[in-house]
Amino acid sequence: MVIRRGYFLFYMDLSKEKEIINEAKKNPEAFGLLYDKYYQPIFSYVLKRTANLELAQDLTSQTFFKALKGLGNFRWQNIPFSSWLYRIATNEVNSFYRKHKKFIQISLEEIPEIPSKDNPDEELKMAEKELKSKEEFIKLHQSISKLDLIYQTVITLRFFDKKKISEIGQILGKPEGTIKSQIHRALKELKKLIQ
Amino acid sequence: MEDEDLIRKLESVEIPEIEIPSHKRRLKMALLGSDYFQKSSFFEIIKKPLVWAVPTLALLITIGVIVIQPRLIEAKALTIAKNNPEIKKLLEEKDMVLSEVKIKDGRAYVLLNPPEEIKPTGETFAIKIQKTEEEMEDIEGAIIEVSLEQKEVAKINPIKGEDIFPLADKEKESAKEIVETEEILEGVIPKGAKIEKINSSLPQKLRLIEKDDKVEVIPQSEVKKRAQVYYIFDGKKWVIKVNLTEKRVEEIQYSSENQNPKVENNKESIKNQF
Repeated sequence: MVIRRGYFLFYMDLSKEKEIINEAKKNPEAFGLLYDKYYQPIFSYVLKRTANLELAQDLTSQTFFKALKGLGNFRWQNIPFSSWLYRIATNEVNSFYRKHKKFIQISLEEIPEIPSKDNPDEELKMAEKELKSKEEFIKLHQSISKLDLIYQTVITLRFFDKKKISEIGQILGKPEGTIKSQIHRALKELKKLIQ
Repeated sequence: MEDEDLIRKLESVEIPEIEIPSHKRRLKMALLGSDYFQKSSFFEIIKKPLVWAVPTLALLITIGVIVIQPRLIEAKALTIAKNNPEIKKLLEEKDMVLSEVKIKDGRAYVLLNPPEEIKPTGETFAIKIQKTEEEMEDIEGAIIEVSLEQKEVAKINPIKGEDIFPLADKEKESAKEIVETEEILEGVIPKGAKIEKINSSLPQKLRLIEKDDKVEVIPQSEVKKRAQVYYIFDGKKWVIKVNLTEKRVEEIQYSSENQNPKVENNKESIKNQF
């Protein structure tokens, strides 16, 4: 199978994606295409869940390694491959928080100022600065991180990742009605925390 | 705070849009260079169907020729034998079994075995009433010759205990003694009854062998030797089966034409010996 980069990267519909996924099971180039497309959305989602750059990088790496390992068993069920990736990412984040219940959520004051001479990685420096600048997000995140994991998940996917109810249902493998109820309860709990 | 306010707040909050290209690159290199794709290339080769098709086909043909084909022929021979009316009657009425098939020179030889061995415990023995006197001399076992070409039973060769286990005189004496000293038989066999003959009972566990260009029957190892003592009186017949190994009476056979009042009246008490 010939891999045509440009077209598939940006205009991948479900049927084409299915072909790429089947190819990716044995062809690293095909897997690379999928990775290029989905790295940023997954990293971004994990960062919104964790508000921690180092943790977001680690959990994103784990997500893609798990995806690669599980690709052989991936069975096309007419939902986007991205939903499957989001599901893996959600599981990785939730699993981390279950194991590290005392993980301290970073507050604005705790995000370090990284002097450039100590950290040659200019990217990371810029990233930390960007994160710190989103004060309101950090404050909200502190409240959200006190909710049950399922509520954290649905709030992040719905309001920060702008996913539709149907997409959240595909990611979590639950009916839309259940997702709506969970969002409703999550908001109720979050309101109590904020007030 | 109203729900709508909270929703508005959540929807409008400025989200950090952060990219770390160096991480993206490093991770990609790690993923594409991982063991997963190295193993895959190896497994791809061995998965290729053509690599396996020819030896698999050869193996299947070999298995078919060596194992399956003879089994199919044996099954066919058994079916032909089972469908023969005479054999069907023996299977149904006398509890006989078709146990083994040997293929030789385009013919199948099917072993018709006597019914299951009596397994008496303690003082038990069986009372068997045959319909006619002829049935008391009926077939014990047989080698059935099946023509595979004609798809029919060509010949039924009866086999008798005497052919397999001829009794020595000493053994015949022993059988007689066992019968005569069996208390339960007192009154069952009329006092004037005489012994017509004593011969060996065909063992149930038999097998077929090829010998001198023929197919014959031999007992399996360790069969219990049994004798049949035939009594005759006033034109009526009784057959007493004796286990020579365990020295006990196992079965009484008599014809229904034989209105033996002692047996009829005492059938329950005889049976109650169990």
